[in-house]
Amino acid sequence: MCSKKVILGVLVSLSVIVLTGCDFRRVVVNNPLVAESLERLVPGQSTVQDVARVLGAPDEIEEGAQGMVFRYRYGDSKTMRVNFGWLLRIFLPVAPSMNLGKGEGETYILHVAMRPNLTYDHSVIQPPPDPPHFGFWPF
Amino acid sequence: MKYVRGFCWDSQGCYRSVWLGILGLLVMNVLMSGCAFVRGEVGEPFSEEGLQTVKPGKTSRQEVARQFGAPDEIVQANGHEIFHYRRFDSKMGWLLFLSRLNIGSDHLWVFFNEQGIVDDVVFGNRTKDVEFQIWPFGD
Repeated sequence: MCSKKVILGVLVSLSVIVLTGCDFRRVVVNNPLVAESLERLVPGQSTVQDVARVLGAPDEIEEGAQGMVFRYRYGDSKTMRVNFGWLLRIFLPVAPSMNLGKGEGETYILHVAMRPNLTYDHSVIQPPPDPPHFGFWPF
Repeated sequence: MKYVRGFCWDSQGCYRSVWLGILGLLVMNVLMSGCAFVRGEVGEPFSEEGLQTVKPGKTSRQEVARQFGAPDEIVQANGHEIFHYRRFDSKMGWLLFLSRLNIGSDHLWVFFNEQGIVDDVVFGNRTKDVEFQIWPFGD
């Protein structure tokens, strides 16, 4: 009973120490793009203000083949790193860095085409890519 | 309760000092690793009063520039000259091996007609949704 608890305690401590040698970092830019909100826009009728009410102000505006294009972006990136040298900090005065790490990032893009009279025409949403994952193995 | 070689031996047969040691190690680990909350802002917030002064059909290009300063970008699209003003806000929470950085952007787009009078105004405030978060997993 005693030895089990002690072993459990030691394992928990080691896990915490190992985990503190890890890094889980995430960067999120803006809000997720919701495709369903586009259903409220009517081609030829919805104005710039209607588009802004549903989607907010665009991140970019460009001249299109006819009219203009509003572009919206949402970014999500995840990075994980494990410093195997961290464990040596228990025994050594300095902890050497022995890092393995990997980062994945995705940008979701929505294009909204506006007609020359500044009414909504159509939209193109990039098929959602696989969301990024945490993983430290870089090979 | 009895004492063996200086350790307190409780009724369940476990060394309390082992648990105290583990707890001390964990607390020390937390203190050594620490936490942080960091905020970064680029650009001035858009005031409600300032936005109210821009009236389609009335406000001129010079008046907009007087109110908001020189635009970050001027876009020519579909016969419109468009002033683009941006603001960014970022909030990062970091605790031990977990961190999350949320970035939001506000955009003000002012459309001018050929006479240099405001035609339309699009403003989106996404920085109000930016929160301090530590947990990098999930949504």
